[in-house]
Amino acid sequence: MPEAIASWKGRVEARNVHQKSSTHQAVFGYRLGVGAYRYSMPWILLAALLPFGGLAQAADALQPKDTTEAPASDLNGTESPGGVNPIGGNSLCPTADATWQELLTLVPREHLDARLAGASEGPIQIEDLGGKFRISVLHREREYREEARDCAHRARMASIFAALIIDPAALLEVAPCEHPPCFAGVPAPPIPAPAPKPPAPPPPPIFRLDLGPLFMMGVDAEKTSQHWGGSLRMTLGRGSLVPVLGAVVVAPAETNVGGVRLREWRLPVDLGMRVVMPGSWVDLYGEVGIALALLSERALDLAVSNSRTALEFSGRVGLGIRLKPERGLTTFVALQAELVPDPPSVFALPWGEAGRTPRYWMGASMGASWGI
Amino acid sequence: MDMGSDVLWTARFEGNNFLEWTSVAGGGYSPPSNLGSMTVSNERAHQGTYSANLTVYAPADTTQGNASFVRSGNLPMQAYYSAWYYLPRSVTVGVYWVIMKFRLRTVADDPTTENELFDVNLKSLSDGGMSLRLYVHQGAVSGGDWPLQIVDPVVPVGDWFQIEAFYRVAADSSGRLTLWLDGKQILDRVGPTGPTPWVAWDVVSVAEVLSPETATIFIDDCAISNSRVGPTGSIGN
Repeated sequence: MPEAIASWKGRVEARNVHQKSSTHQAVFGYRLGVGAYRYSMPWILLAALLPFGGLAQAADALQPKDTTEAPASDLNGTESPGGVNPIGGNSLCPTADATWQELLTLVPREHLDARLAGASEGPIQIEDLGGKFRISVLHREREYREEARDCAHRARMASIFAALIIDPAALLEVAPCEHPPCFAGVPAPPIPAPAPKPPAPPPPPIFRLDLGPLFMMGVDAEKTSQHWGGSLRMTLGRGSLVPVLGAVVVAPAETNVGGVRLREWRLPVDLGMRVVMPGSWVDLYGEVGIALALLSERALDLAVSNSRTALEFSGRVGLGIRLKPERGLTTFVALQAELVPDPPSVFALPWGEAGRTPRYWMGASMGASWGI
Repeated sequence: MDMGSDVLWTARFEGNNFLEWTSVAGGGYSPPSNLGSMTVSNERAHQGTYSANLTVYAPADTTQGNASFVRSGNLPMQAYYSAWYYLPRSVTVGVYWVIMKFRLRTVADDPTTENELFDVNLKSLSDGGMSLRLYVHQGAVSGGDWPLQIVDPVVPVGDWFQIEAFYRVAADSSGRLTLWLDGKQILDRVGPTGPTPWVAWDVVSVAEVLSPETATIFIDDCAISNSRVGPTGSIGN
């Protein structure tokens, strides 16, 4: 036990060196003169809790008190409804009982017992100094001026001081608010509202329809034919690889195959797969598939002019770029190319086989893309 | 895809007759009145099996040998006229040997106003070969030849050759005559041609003073077309 006392005394002295160098001003108009120490925050709370009405004034900084000079007191306090009163001293205002009863309302008894049991001397001493009183709790001492000698008030003041020394955490839990406004406790730091969870991105559209005007050109070594029309493409599915079905309708246009002037019309439909590469602002996509085209040709100025139709099979590739967002209405631009391995022959007299319809078909389109 | 045809008429002789000539209005043929002959022959053909064998007798006494296929009237204002010829041997031409003709009428409805216009002639070269010349009956050079763009173009002997003409009949400067020999243009003259839209086109063998006196020429695949036939063209399926 003596070793424990010496250790405790050493800690107190070490704190006092610091306390003397940093005196804080209370924030409610009266000086508490409380040195900053590990309970600084509860002190501020206490100031808020004390209903002094501006009368109390802290005497000065806490004075370390050598345990050897402390008034002898033991723990044999008077019996009270709260149990043995550990408060010593000869104070009449406030009395030890009144202070003890107030203290019991602030700190659970078991906390008091646990905290004060280790003290070798009277852990709480109160002295009535007339217009002021002095309280010492576990060798921390303070004088309060209270000239009205309101003993109940003094008891509350003393008990709060004691509670702050003994178990400041308890004050935060039980401090009553008798004279509002007062703090119910340390305002809890605002709990940052959880960042609003970003709304889950809507699922990519399961169905997409691309519709727009199209320019298509039949290309061969000796000729080109140019058509304007419309392109319709549909995809079904959410993955990055989706099936695509497309159709193109082009207006008839004139062309020339080996000297034979023809009016040409073409209606290709295609089936393939689309690979979508999403980006931040745009989505890129590529397509590959096969196409079947209905090709209609009509001779324009032969002595005997015929109209003929034929079916073309071709391989098709496409590239496109589509603005975000994926869902709803947006814009796309696309290029496409078809290779017809065996384009139909054009036969007419006197040319005989005048040539073949275009082997390559290139197209460009732009328009609206609607994803749902 | 069979887109049709720009060929207006053909005579391929594959029917082993001259019906292609005789079955159309203004068409016909005129066999020689002397020792010559005019027959369908399977001796050779440009395409198919048959051709026409025109043999004329043109002795030195200036008796004209004459065998003709004729299309007169009901022809377009402009068209390409094509015929294939085969000379079995080289012939020395004493006066003339006409193998294609265009004729005119000064009054379209009046047959009595009919007259000669252009004659495409065979001529013999000093080296024994054959060539062409164009004789003009009417107009500024009436009674003379129009010089060809290619001097003395060679006419093959023992092989088929094609003579094709583009003829636009017009009394003004829009008239035109263009000639090709085996696809090579040998003449292109622009200017007045026939005074009326009436046109006659004859594929013939009309000669005076040939040596040998009897000369044969085969004719095949005659056509009138709105588009140029050319050596590689096809006039029938």
